[in-house]
Order: sequence, then C-alpha cells, then structure tokens
Amino acid sequence: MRPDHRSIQIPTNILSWIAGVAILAIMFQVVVDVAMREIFSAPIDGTIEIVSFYYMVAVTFLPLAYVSHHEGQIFVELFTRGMRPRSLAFLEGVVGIVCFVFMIWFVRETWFAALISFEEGEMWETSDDLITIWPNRFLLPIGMGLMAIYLLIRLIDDFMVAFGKRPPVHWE
Amino acid sequence: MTELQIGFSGLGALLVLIALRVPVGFALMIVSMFGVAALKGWSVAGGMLRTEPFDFAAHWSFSAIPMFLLMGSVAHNSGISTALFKAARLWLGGLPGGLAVAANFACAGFAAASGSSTATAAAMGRISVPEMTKAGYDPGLSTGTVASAGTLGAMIPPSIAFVLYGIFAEVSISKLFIAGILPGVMTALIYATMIMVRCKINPSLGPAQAQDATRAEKFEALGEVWPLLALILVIIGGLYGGIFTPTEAGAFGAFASFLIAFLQGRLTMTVFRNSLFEALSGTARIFWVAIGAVLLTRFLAMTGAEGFLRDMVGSWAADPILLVLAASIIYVILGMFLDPLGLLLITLPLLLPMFEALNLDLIWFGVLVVKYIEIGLLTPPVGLNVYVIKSVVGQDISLETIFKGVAWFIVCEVVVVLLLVAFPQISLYLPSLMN
Repeated sequence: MRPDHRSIQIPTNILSWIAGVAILAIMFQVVVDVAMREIFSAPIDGTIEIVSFYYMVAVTFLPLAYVSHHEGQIFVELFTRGMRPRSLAFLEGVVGIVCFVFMIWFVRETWFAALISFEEGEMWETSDDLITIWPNRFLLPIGMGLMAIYLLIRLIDDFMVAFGKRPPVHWE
Repeated sequence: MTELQIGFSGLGALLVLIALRVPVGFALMIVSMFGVAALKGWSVAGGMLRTEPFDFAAHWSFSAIPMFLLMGSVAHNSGISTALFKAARLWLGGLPGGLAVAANFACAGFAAASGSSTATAAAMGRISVPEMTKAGYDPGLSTGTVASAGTLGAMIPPSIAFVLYGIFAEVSISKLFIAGILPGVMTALIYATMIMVRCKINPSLGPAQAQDATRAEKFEALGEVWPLLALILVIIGGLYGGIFTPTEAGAFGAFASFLIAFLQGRLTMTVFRNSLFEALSGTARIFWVAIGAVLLTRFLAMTGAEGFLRDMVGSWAADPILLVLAASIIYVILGMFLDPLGLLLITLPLLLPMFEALNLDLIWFGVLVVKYIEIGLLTPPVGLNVYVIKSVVGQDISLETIFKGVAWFIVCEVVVVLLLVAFPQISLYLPSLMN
C-alpha cells in the first residue's frame, strides 16, 4: 500500500463506510424478511428490489477507490517479474494512462445515464408499490470517479519513479 | 476486417494486455468496448457502458456473494479458523503427517464458512504453516497442503464460483451448492490419504508429534467450533430443504457469524471493521472482473465467435466424452495463465451452448468447471493459491518448493476429475434428492 494524500483518503473512507452500511443492510433486511415470512407469513414488500437496486449497487461501486488504495485489483505479474524497478514503474505508468482514459469515458457515460434517469424520475415496480431508483444511478460515476482520481495519482507517481524524480517505494 | 477477425483480434489483445500488467477487469472492459466500437460504432459501445454495469450489479442472486464473503471474513477475523485448526490438530495430530492432515480438514471445515479458495488458503496458511514448520515438517508438504486444501473453498458450499456459474448457466445455485458437497469431501479424503501414505513411507516429511492432550482438552477444543458446525448444518439443511435461497442463506450465515463472535466475546471494533472491509473489497474486485466478462460476452456474441468455435470443434462437439476432454484441455491450459474468475466467465459463454446442445447435465458440468478452476489455482505459472501461500510464508520458503509440494496434490486432482467424469452420480446424487 502506497502513501496517499489525506484529502483523497477522507472521501474514500466515507464511500467505504456507506458501502459498509449497505452490506450490513442487506444482511439485516434479508434476515428480517425471512423471519417475517416464516413466522408471520408477511415478508417485507420490495426486499428483492431494494437489495438489488440500492444496496448491491452501493456495495459494488462505492468501495472501488478503497480497492485501488490497497492495490487490490487483480493483475498478472508473471511476464514482468524480472523487470528493473524504474522500467516497471514506466510500464505501470503507461498502463495507468490507458486505464485512466478508459475510466474517464466510463464515468462520463454513467454520469449521462444518471442524469437521464434523474430527468425521467426512473422508478421500479415492486409487487404492490413503486420505488425510486434514479439516485442509485449516481453511485456509479461517484465510485468510479474517485477510483479514476486514484489512477491519476498513481500514474503520476509511477512516472516520477520512472524518470528518477523519486526513489521506488516498496509497497505490499 | 471481418467481424470474426475483430473478435479474435480482441481475444489476442486481451491476453497481451493481461501480460502487460493491465488489471484483468480493465483489460476485459477495454478490449470489449473497443471491439464493440469497431463493430457497431462508439455510440453503441457508450450505450453499453451506460446500462450493463448497473443492470449487472443490481441483481438479487448476486447479493449472495457479499453475504458469503462477509460470513467468511467474520469467521476468520473472530478466530474461528484458529479454533478449527486447534481442534483438528488435537483430534488428528496422532496420524502420520498429522498436522498436515489436520490443516487439510481444517481447510475443508473453513471452506464451509467461506466461499473463496484464496481466502481459505490465506486464513489457514497463516495459522497452520508456522506450526508445521516448527514441528519440522517438509516445507513442500506443509505449504502444498494448505495451498491445495484451500481450493476446497470453491467446491464445498458456500461457493462464489458456484453462484457465478449458476447465474451464467441459469441453473439452480442451491442445487450446485449441494452438488459440491460430495466432490469436496471426497477431495479432502483423497488428499488426507495421500499425505498419510507419503508420511508413513517417509516419516521425515512429517515427524510424529507427542500426543499429550487429554480427552477433556479435545472436547474443549471442539466446544469452541461447535457453533460454526451447527451454523453450517443449518445453512446446508436450509438450502437442501428449499427453505433458504442462496442470498438468504448467506445473510443468515453472516448474521449468525456476528452473533457467535459477539457471544464468544470476540467481536471487537477491529474485528468488525476488518471483516466489513475485507468483504467489501472482495465484492468490488469480483464484480469489477465480472462486469468486464459480461461486456466481453456481449462483444463476442456480436462477432459470431461462438458459432465459429462450435464449428471448429466440429465432430468433437457431438461426442460427450470428447467434448468433456476438450473442455478439460481448455481449462487446464487457460488455468495456467488466467485468474479463476476470469477463466470461468470467459469460457462459459463459449462452452455452455455446446453442453446444452448435447443435453449434458449442467449441474455436473458446473462441478467439473469448478474443479478445473481449482486446479488452475495450483498450476504454474499463475497458480493464485500458491502465490497466496508464498505471501504468507515470506522469504522462508521458495515459490519452487511450494509448486513442488503442490504437484502431489495435482496428481490427486487428476484422480478426482477422472472419478467425477466416470461417475456423474458423485455430483448428482444429493441434488437429485432435492425438491
């Protein structure tokens, strides 16, 4: 794990804790739903929709910056294991640019999708009600936008190492 | 370029990007979106980015994944994995290679609380490898045992791999979970037999331990793990009886893990926080790769690659045994290079239609696929479980030693695969009893 600016760690922690609340909410709501269904034959209406559209979207996209902070994305290092630290940092920087540009596109598209959903007031029908789902569309550009900022910080850092402006830092 | 050429160029570019350290999820997404843009234009590709990721994540069945990850991380962080190994050591330590046998069965036990092979290997590796090293065990045997037995995490329910397979193949996840029980237990028994035979022939591999534990101490150790065992029985029973869906089983399991940790006085703020964040980062990583795989599936469908491969396989695709053999070869080769999730999600869109066309049982195929991706976790050069154990043991034991140790377990896996192919009932008997 590399050191990062505090200014980016704070929003990362906030989003991660919101995702933490969402994962606990899945657990509690589903347990209560099962209990109500089995004991009183009265399940909580809309559990499937609320878990799917609200909690799952938060759990999937909000921790992405946390994963980036902890070097958590899955990658294969087999073919580059013998490289020297500065060459490796250069390669990582180039990979970082490719991923960053892609993320900007991804964030832009999901942001537009969220705006359209907001303007239409997107809703979803449960068995006997309607639930609003447009606010959750914004979780994608928020989670991925913060991840993109991490990618940018990392690639600048990699190029500084590659061009000898900073010594390589050992990270886990 | 024809559509098919674009498809295969995309697959080639995917392997190049992965080799150049582009994270697997990014590589899948970038290749897919550029491929779709080349075929249908940028607006179509952009449109897919707007809808597919949200639609994919907002899926009820997938909510089983964070629940099982949470259950496993609470069980580990609250010390259940340590208690499991302690109990297994006291009961099985007197056998030839007793500590390795104990680590093997402790992995099998923890697999019933964890849906992930790498998590199982990491949890048990930290606890059991130092003890085996201290007792003078052969480093290849100690590390090979935990790397290999860790793969039971994907076979013994709950299993993230089965959840993903079930959704993509559109078969019952509950039935897949139940189908994994006998193959998982059989694998653990075959591993244990191999360890004992090797240590009987060459006792220096696993020196015998003094057995000074009293009967009372043994039962006391069991007392610490019985809540977990009871929980596992309730979850599997609930799935088997059709009372729980997989998500409900996961939510109940995670809740009960918290409750057990609280009642045993182990639920500190650190345990709570670490469990939560481990489950979250695991979920986000899995979904990032899975979204990439979904986009790749959409891209390949546009190129007609699936039909081309089916034609290429030709007469092989008409013979079940040859098709299983072809699938085995594909999984073993790709498993050497790809991570298990990527392997599973990339191959299913190509192989499932062929199996469906021959009316082969998709539950049985699911068990085989999970077994293959487990083997992929052990085979060089990219054997993820071996790297997990390497990160646990640090510089003390070389990667080569661990791979050599694992080789014995891969021989066992060949036997297991042959049995699973020859006797589909090993996988299908228990699900056939379900409603």
